[in-house]
This record gives sequence, C-alpha cells and structure tokens, in this order.
Amino acid sequence: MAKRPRVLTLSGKEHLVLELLAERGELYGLQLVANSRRRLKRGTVYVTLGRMEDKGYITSRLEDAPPEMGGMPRRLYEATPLGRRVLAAWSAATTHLMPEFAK
Amino acid sequence: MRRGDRLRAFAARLFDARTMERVVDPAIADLQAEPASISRYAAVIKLIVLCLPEVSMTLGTASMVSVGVLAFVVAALELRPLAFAWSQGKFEPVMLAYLLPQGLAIAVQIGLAAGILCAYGGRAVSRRALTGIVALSLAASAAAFVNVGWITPAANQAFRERVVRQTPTSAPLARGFPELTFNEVRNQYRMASAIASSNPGAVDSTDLHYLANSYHGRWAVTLAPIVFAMFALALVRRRPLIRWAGALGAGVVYLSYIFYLDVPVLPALDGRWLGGAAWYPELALAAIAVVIMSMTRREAHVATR
Repeated sequence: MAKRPRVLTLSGKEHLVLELLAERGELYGLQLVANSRRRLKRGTVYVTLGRMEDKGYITSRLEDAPPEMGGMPRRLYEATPLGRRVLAAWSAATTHLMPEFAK
Repeated sequence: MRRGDRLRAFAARLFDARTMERVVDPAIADLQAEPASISRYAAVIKLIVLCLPEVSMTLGTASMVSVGVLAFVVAALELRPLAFAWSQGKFEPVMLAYLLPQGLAIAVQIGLAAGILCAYGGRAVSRRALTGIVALSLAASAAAFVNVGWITPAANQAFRERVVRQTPTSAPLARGFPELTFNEVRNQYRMASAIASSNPGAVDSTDLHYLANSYHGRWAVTLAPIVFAMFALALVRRRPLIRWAGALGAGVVYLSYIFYLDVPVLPALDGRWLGGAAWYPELALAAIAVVIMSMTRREAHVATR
C-alpha cells in the first residue's frame, strides 16, 4: 500500500508526469521522457518518479513478460486515484487563480 | 555480462536496497532495453551522481562520508595551531596527534550529522534505526565528556610544551584554563563565581568569562552529538535542497563560531549569562530542530486529515 503523502504539493515535473500518466495510462520512465518534449530528462526522471511513489501519487510494477534481450525487467508507472485527484485539484486551482497559465 | 551491469554493481555499493529498486534499477532496465549509446550511459551516471545527496545511502557509504567530513573538520581545526608551530620553527609530526582530541571534540558531531543525513535522507527513520542513532549519539556524548574533560587538556598541554617550552630542562609550562581537567576547572569556576558574587571587583571580568566558558564549553561539547543528531533527524524528511543547505549552513556557522570564539569577545558574547557563549550554537540548533520537527508534524497532520 502506498504511504500517505506528507503534504499535497505538486512540483512542475510531478504535474507533468501525472498529466502524461493520466492521459496515456501505464508508461515506462523512458516513455515519459520521450513524451515530455524534453521537459523531463532521463538522468532525473527516476528520482522524480521515486519521490512521487513515496507521496502516493503514482504506483509502479515490474513488467510481466521477461524482456527478449535478457535485460532486467522494466518498471511501469501508473497514476493512483490520489494522484489523479491531486492533478485535477491542482489544474482546477491553476485555472481559477491563474487563468493565463492554464491550458 | 549485460549492458549496465557494472554500473548497477557500482551503484549497489553506494545505495540502499530501496533506492536501487526505485531509482537505479528502472534506469538500468531501460538502458538495457535500448540500443547502446554514450549519452544513455551518461544519463545513468548522472542519475547516480544526483542520487548521492537526493536519496539514502548504504550505512557503509554513509559511514565513509561521515568519516570524510570528520577528517576535513579536524584538518581545518588543526591548521591554525600547526601553522603557528611551523612559524616558530617547532613543528613536529607528533603534534598532529596532540591536536587530534581537540579537533575530534568539534568534528564528531558534524560527522555524525552528515552520516545520519546520508543514511536516512529522504525517508522515514524506523524505530530500530532511531534507537541506533540515539545509542550512537549517547556514546559519542559520553566519549566527548571524557575527551574534553581529561584527554584534550593533557594533549593541549603536551602541544604547548612542545611549541613554547624553550628547552627540556626548563620549568614546566603553567597550564591555562583549557589545560585544566574537568574537575579542576569546575572547582576553579565555582570558587571564582563565589568570590565574584561576594566581592565583584576581586576577580578579573575577562578571566571569569574565560573560566566560565572553559567549564560550560565542556558541557556544551558533551551534549553536542545529541543536539546535532536531533538536528539531522529533523532534516531527514525535508527536501534535498533544504536538507543539504541546512546541514552545510549549520556546519559552516558552527565552525565559524568556534573560530570566532576567543577570549577578548567572551564578555560581550556572554552578556549577563556567564558562560552563555558556549551554549549559543547548540541552543540555536535545538530550537531550529524543534521548529522543523513541528512543521513536519503539522504537514503530516494536514496531509492525513
């Protein structure tokens, strides 16, 4: 079970990760990087993902099938219901308070 | 051997199992799933470097960092007296050993705090780990009491004898307050305080403050490992930038204060609180630790409501 977050804060990168996971479902770390238009870096994304997992915003699992290349099993990430609620609340607050920055 | 296995083995020596599972292994697995390229390797190396301050390390690595910090602080503290000995043409290698107890009295608490932050940074400290930290800081505190009470005064006196005494046959050098043992300095302090309170002009004010700080300073150094451990524990759950900036800031301010603390400034620093100057850094650290802990608790309370 995911731990409860200490406080419901959301950094820019965490917001982006949640947006991508909410839109596209389960993704690998590298897929997040590829879909982020260079806003996420492959050298830092896993630290962000680890922290988001601690906060309970996302969950992860190792992929089912063993990889064909014989490498280590890859980790897939997915937004949790809490993560989706935080994303919705954050987006709503941004739209309300700073409409010029809202999509 | 698969691509990235060497990097993974290297990282496994540094980081704990949780960090490996959550941060390093996913990066290596993705590296293995892609065609090889230098930039992909560079990204994993960057990740490992970034992880050093960001996440917790194995106890072995944390201990190494702790000892490194301790050695650096001891070296910084020994530099000034050794430079003095060198300028007098009296430097001998054995002086490094004589100055070691004094350096350790200040360095141990800083090294302990660095070790706690490295080992537990970014994650919750379990009850078992907390028990270990409390036991370690109490042991360091007990060792500091013996060190500043008896070992450092004797070592300081030996250093002074080597530097100042002209010939081995000349009269032994009189001991100053820092060279008195704990019992001696306590007795002198009590006596001087009693005389000063009954006859204010009978004891030189600067001497009284110097003596008071020699006595209170030993208690302050004795309690320092506990205060620093408390400060580090308060910081472990904060964000990496706050955690490391806070730790570095506290270490630099503490060391600067130690360097600044000299006999002429003691009366002004003490004010009406005789010996107070010895306590200020730890009181400040303890107060900051309490504020951070209460903030963390309040945030956790808000998050779970």
